[in-house]
Amino acid sequence: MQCSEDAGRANQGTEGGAIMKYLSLPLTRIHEALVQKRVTPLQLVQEALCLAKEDTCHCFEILFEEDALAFAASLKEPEKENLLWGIPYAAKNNFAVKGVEVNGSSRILQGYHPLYNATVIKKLSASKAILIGMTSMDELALGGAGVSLLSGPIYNPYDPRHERMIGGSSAGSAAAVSAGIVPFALGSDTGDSVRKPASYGGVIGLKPTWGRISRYGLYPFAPSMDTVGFFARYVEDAAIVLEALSGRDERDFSSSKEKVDPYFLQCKTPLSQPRVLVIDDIVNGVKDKMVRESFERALHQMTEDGVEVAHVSFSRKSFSRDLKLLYPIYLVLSSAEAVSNDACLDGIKYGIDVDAENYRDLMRKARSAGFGKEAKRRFVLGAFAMSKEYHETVYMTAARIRHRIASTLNDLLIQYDFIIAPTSPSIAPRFDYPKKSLEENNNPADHHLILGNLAGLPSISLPLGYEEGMPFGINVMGRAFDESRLLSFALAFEKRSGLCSEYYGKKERQ
Amino acid sequence: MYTFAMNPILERDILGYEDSLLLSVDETQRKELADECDALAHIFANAKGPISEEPMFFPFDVEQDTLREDIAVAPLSREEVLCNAPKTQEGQIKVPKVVR
Repeated sequence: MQCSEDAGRANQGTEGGAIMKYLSLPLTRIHEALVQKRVTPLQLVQEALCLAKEDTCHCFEILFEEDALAFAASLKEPEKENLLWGIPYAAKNNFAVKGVEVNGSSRILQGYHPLYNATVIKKLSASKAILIGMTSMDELALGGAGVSLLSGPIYNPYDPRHERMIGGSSAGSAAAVSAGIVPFALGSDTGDSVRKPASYGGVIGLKPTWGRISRYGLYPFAPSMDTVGFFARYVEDAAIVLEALSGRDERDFSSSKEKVDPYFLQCKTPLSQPRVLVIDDIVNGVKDKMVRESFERALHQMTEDGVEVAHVSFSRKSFSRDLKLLYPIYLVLSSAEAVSNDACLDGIKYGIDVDAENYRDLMRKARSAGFGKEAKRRFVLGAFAMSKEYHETVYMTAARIRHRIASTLNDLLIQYDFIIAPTSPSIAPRFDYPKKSLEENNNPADHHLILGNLAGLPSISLPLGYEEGMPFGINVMGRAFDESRLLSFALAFEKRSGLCSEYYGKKERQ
Repeated sequence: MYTFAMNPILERDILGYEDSLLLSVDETQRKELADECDALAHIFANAKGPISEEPMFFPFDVEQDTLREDIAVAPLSREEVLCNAPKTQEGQIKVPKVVR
């Protein structure tokens, strides 16, 4: 690849004469190279921008070439204790970045320049991490196919034929990390929008506890479930980023006052006899033989390593029925919240420019032209759920079942440390895969990630295996604000599976 | 268990939601949405078993400090306020008439 060779020539002689792809390394090793001045932030950003411009997967909606290079050039003396110093990263196109266009991959926000920075952007800037661009996504996070309304489908870097998705809505961020363009990228997760693309893209996707990271500046979709998450290639990198982003923010009342643990340090502390639970009602929905066998093999390895693995089946109990309702519950609750959160997008204060005789016509024209089909679908479903006729029977029923689900999960997590399952029942689908109707869409294996959003629990997807050259993952969900133990378990799994380093060996061979 | 006589969701119902949302969908999508809303109505009407739980609106309690002290900060400049408006005139956001 020309880009990397050029970057490599710039870095030649820094690691025994070999051409290095620094951006593929763990953050600690990149940081070591920066501190020892074997590489500079400017060289890293040049490499990242070069890869981003050569990218054919449509990872980015916009690149901040000038600003990123200028910021990188200004960083001269490495901060030895700051593991994010000089590290390039990307952010999903729904985080406010002052002075640049951030349009949520929607026509209705085309031309919109936020007047402030999201808290997570401010924190990463203060850590001297360097934002190189905003990544493509499903419009306003309302979708899971990984198709931007503005730039089209975001392709899976593992599929050179560009037939398979990486999933959404945080598609571009997942692809940017999967393709080795940046070591980490921000996303947002309301139903599975970080964890599922992570599985399809062969990377780590972490959705922390609801409220762990400030959502100030994240364009809202469904605030009772929206969580800032991110992608990384190594569990330690996830711990570093989580530690940098976590904490109470007075600008976001939903952000938690729970203390922020030293995740990077604590993730290296092994757990003593962790107990994990497998919910058979979920796993039995996985029909793909390779995914199923890989998961069983992982359970066997865990048992060998002293993990207590238990299975439970809810059979005819209410939780079994609730698991089949996960998708409609999520659809109703999230769509109802989206209706009010996106009501401010009216074509008057900002965004798309249309003409009309009166304000109602103007707003209707702007919203009709500005939103895509999937966004309109969610808004109409939300209006239906909140209508006088159906509010009690649809919306409130969904909210009650949500409470029941959350109570059941929290009860299970008293006795067990983690609940695990294959992240997705298959590898990344093709873009033209046949869509299921609502009634058919009741396989818990497809939708169990929603559990983490309904109950606000932390959840991480880790690479598990490959089929037909495409990756798939395993998901681990823990107790609220127990990210230290979750990451510790994840780190042990990563070391056992060897998949992170194996990925880089595989990509190098391609 | 909730039981009630359900009328099917019709395309005219979807038109009503479009009016309240101030947006329009095409005819094909209107038909799809009528079917989908109907399906949701049936799914939740048939959600079996007594549901004794109160509705959950947030996963955890949210502490609100609405009575914090005022902090004086510089306001946005006029240029900043106007920079995103599709139409401006004489230093103000231009909007259509409300009253004819």
